[in-house]
Amino acid sequence: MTGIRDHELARGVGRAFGGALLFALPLMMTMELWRLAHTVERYRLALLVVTTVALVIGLSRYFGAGPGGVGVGGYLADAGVALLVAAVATALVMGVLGVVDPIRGWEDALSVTAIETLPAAVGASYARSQLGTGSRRRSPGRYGHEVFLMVAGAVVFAANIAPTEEVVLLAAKMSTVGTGLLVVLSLVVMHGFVYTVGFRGQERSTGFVGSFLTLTVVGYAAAFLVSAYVLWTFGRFDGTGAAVVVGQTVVLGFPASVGAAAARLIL
Amino acid sequence: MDESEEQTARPERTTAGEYALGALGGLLVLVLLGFLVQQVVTGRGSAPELAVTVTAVEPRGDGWAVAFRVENSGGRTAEQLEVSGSLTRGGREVEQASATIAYVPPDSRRSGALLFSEDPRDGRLEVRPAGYASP
Repeated sequence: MTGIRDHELARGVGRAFGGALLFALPLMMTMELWRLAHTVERYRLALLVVTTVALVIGLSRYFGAGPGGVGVGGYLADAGVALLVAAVATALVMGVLGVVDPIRGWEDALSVTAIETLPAAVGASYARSQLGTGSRRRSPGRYGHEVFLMVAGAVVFAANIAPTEEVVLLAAKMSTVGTGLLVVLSLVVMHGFVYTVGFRGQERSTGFVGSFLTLTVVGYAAAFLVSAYVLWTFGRFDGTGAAVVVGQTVVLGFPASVGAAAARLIL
Repeated sequence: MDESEEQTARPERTTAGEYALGALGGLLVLVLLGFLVQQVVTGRGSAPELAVTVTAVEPRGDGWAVAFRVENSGGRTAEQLEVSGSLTRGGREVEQASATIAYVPPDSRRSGALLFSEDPRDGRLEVRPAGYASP
């Protein structure tokens, strides 16, 4: 029995490793991030790590993962495994790519790991809980869970795109009308994704007004706030005017809202 | 629901191995946070302090390559760091060379090479950081 479980544990860790790569590789191979890892204010980076831990614990708690994972100890252990695998995967890949030297430049490596942990740990948690052959899958029926899921999806997409210079550039180039249109487009895409175009896992609409207001609009608001938080963490708001701050958040809110919608279908 | 079906089909208890790995993960997070807090406390706010050392001078192609290593012992990253080298003979500058390094984080080293057509071992060679951008 123990042998089977150990085997299952190893497979779960392997899956988590795959998930971490799947979610975090785009970020690992983004040049801006290597610099940001060192220049981001330390307290913001620490806050990002705390946010990551909270997010992963929430995912483990509500959506289960790996073998077992019932009770407080279960889901905490689960989250710990996801975080560990995420950090190891980051250090390994960044080491092999030559971005950091985990042994001689460990301080360097720790900074990079801290900033990469977010998508990697969410990916690891997701892969352990959802992509396995024998994974538990809870139907996320509760409203709070749905919103939490959307936040998680938005965080992953936002974190992958926020470090790029393009967000700043696009926000600076876009007109006010363009910014308004992008908000509308985000809402339409979000609603369409979840209720209309027939992806697997499509949800049944509970009346247009009801589902639009309670989930799409709330989801967009969540994606918007998440985008603002991530941009603030990366210092994109420092010394920036209000109009550009809103513009950047709307620009990043677009992929974040797609991520939020996708999370409701996938998880 | 298929949930109950799956629950009976597989072991539901968290294994000792999983607890051990999970605890390791928790420890790692604490180390990470401790490291960041330590950096706040010891004040990373200080400006970059850059030191350039020449590690080798060797003939390469038609000229010479002066390999250098630059170390940042300050508290902040130096971006677009320019390292310049000048070769003087008898008080007259004979040649100049420069290299740009994308960024040097705190407590980190980067290396590069300056290329000269004159022999840099003949005369006085000065290699120094010429300027950087603050992120």
